Amino acid sequence: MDNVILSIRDVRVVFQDDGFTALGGVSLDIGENEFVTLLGPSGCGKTTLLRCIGGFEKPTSGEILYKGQNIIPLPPYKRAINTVFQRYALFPHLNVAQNVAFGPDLRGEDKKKTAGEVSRMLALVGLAGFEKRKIASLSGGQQQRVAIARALINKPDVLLLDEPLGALDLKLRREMQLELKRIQRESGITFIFVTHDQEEALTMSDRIAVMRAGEILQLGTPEDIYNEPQNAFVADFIGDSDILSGTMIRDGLVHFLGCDFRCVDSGFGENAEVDIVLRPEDVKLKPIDDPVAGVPQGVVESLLFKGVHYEMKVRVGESVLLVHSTHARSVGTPVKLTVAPEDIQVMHKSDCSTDVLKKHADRAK
Amino acid sequence: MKKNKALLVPFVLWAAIFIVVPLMLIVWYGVTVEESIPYTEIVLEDGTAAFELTDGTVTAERPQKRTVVSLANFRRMLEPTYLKLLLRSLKIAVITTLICLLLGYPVALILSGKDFRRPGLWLMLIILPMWMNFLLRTYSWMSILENSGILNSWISSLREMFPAFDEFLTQMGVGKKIIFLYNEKAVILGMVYNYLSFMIMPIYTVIEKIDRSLLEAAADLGASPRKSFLRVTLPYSLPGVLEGVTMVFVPAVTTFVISQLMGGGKVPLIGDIIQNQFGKSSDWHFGSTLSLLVMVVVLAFMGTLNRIDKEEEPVKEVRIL
Repeated sequence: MDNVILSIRDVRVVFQDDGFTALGGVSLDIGENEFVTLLGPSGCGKTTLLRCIGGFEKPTSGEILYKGQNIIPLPPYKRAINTVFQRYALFPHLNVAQNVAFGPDLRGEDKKKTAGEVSRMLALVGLAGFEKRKIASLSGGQQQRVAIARALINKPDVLLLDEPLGALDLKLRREMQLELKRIQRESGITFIFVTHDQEEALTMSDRIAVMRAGEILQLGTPEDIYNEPQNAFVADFIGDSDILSGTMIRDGLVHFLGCDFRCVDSGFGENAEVDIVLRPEDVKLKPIDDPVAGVPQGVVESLLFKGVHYEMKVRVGESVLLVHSTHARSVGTPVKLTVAPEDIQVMHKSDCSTDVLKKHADRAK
Repeated sequence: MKKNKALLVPFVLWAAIFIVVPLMLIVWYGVTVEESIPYTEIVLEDGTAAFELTDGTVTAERPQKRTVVSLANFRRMLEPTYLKLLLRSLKIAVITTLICLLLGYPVALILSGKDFRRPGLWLMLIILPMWMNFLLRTYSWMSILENSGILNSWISSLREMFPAFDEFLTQMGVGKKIIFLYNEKAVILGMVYNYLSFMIMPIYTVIEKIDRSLLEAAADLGASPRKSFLRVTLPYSLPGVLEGVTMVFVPAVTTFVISQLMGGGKVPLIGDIIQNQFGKSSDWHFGSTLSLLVMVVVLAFMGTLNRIDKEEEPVKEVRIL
C-alpha cells in the first residue's frame, strides 16, 4: 500500500494479572486518510488494539510504526494521535469551549486564535453557539460531538474512535455516521474506528478488519467482507446469512441441501467438506409448479414484514433458510429455492464452523 | 410522603432538645450578667433583722443576685487578653490545617494511584490509631516527648554511642535534655497527629472517584503527568480538600485538651479559657459570650469555604507553580 501512516506489526498483548491473551499477534497497515474499522464481538481485542495505538496499553511484543517510527515507548501525550473515548471522557468541570480548547491550551497557543478554532470546530460538528454550555447540560449525542471536536482541534494525523456511537439512538447514530464520514473526507485525517455494529462498519469504512479472539480473521473492503467472507464466523458476523454445511464435488459444483449446485468457486479439491454462505436476498423462491428441476423444495414457515422487504423462514428438510424478498408468500406455501452460481460463497471449514453451524441449526428448531 | 415525614419527628425533637434549646441558652447566658442587688441591713422595731433595698422596699429575705441583660461581657471579650488568645488559636489552627494538607494530600494521592496495591490496608493503618482513645494517644506523645521521655533517652544513648554526634549536638547548642513539650510546636504536633486522618480521608475519597478515562483523555490531548495533575486531579479534588480543611480547622480552633496536655498550660487557647469559665471561674455568662465569639469565627470561616466551593466559574486549572 502507498502512504502507509500506521503499521501494526505482530502486536501481542498478554495481560499480566491473568495471563489472558487479548491480542495474539496482529498485523495491519493503515494508509493516510483511510477509514479503517476494527469490527468484532466484545472481547475480541479491538479496543485493546486501539488502546495500544493510543498509548494506553503497552503491547507485550510487536511494533507499532507511525510514519516509520516505533511509537510503543512513547507515552500517550507524546503521540500525534487523538482519541474519542467510548464514554467521551469530557471534563465536567470545564464548559464546552474549555473542553475543546484543552489541547491547544496545553500547547500554550494564542487564546484568541484558539477561541476562533473552537468555534470553527463546534460548527463543524454541528454545535455552533454551544461554547458556554456546561457538559452536564448536553445530550449524549451532543457530548459525543464535543468529544470529536476536542480531538479534531489538535489536527491529529490519526484519530482513534472507540465505539463512539454506542450510546446514541438509531436515528442519531445514522446521522452521526454520515457526519463522521464527511469530517473524515474533508479533514484528510486517518480514522481508526472500533465497533461491534456490522452495519455501522459497512456504511462508513474504507476497509474493515473483522476480529475474533485477539486475531484479525479478514481484512478487506466492506464489499469484499460482505460478498466474499473467508470463513463462517465472518459470514455470520456481517449481515444476515444462511450458513450450511456442504461438499465440494469438484471445481464449480457443490452439493448442499440435498442437491447439486453450479458455483464459481474452485481449488477446494474433490469431495471436500466446506461451509456454504448464502445471503438471504440471493435466495430466490419459485412456485412449486415452476418447471425448474434439481432444486431444493421447502415450505414457508414464517413471514415478517421488514419495511423494504419481507423476511421469510423456509424449511428445507432439517434446515431453515432465511430469505429476503419483496414478494411475500404466505405461511405454509410450498416453494422451490434457486440460487445463482455467483451468489454461492464456498468457504473452507474453520475452527469456528462448528459453533456457527450449530447456531444456524438451532434456528431450525 | 406523609409517612416519610413522620420518620423525621424523632430527629426534629432531638434537634430541638439537644441543639436549639442549648444554643438559645448559650445566647441567653452570653448576653446577660449576674448582678448583686445593693441593700442595707437594718434591724426592725421588733428586733428582727431585715434588708432595705435602694428603692426603700424592705424584705425579710437577704436579696439574691439577679440576672440582667448586659453587653458587659462583650466589652470584656474585646480586651486584648482575649483577642490575643483568639488570634493564637486561629494561628495554631491555620498552621495545623496547612501541615495536615501538605502531609495528607500526597498520601491521599498516592493511595488512590492506580498502581497502588491494597490501598484498603494502608487506609486501615491510617484510621486504626483513631480508634484508640484520644487522651491515650495524646498521653503517649507526652511520654515520648517529655524531658525524661523515650525520645530524649534515645538521643542520650546515641550520644554515648557516638561521641562525634554528641560533640556535634553540643556545638549546635543543644542541651543534654531537649525540651520538646510545653510550647506551641508541641501543641501543633499533637493537633496534626490527631487530625491528619480527617484530612486524608475526604481527599482520598474524592480523588479515588475521579474517572480514570478523564486522566487518559488529558494525556491523549497532550497533558504530561504534571499538567494532568494540575488540570484534572487537583481541580477535581478541591471539594475533598475543602471538606478536609473544615474537618481539621474547626476542631483545631475549639480544642482545649491538646493545648492543656501538650502545652502544659503554657500555651492557653481560646478553648482553654472557655473551659475555665465553665469550670474553675464558674462564670457561665462570660464563657457563653466567648463561645458565641468562636462560633461566629467558625461560621464565617465555613461561609467563606462554601463560597469557594460554589464559585460560578469552574476551576480551570489550579496554578501553584
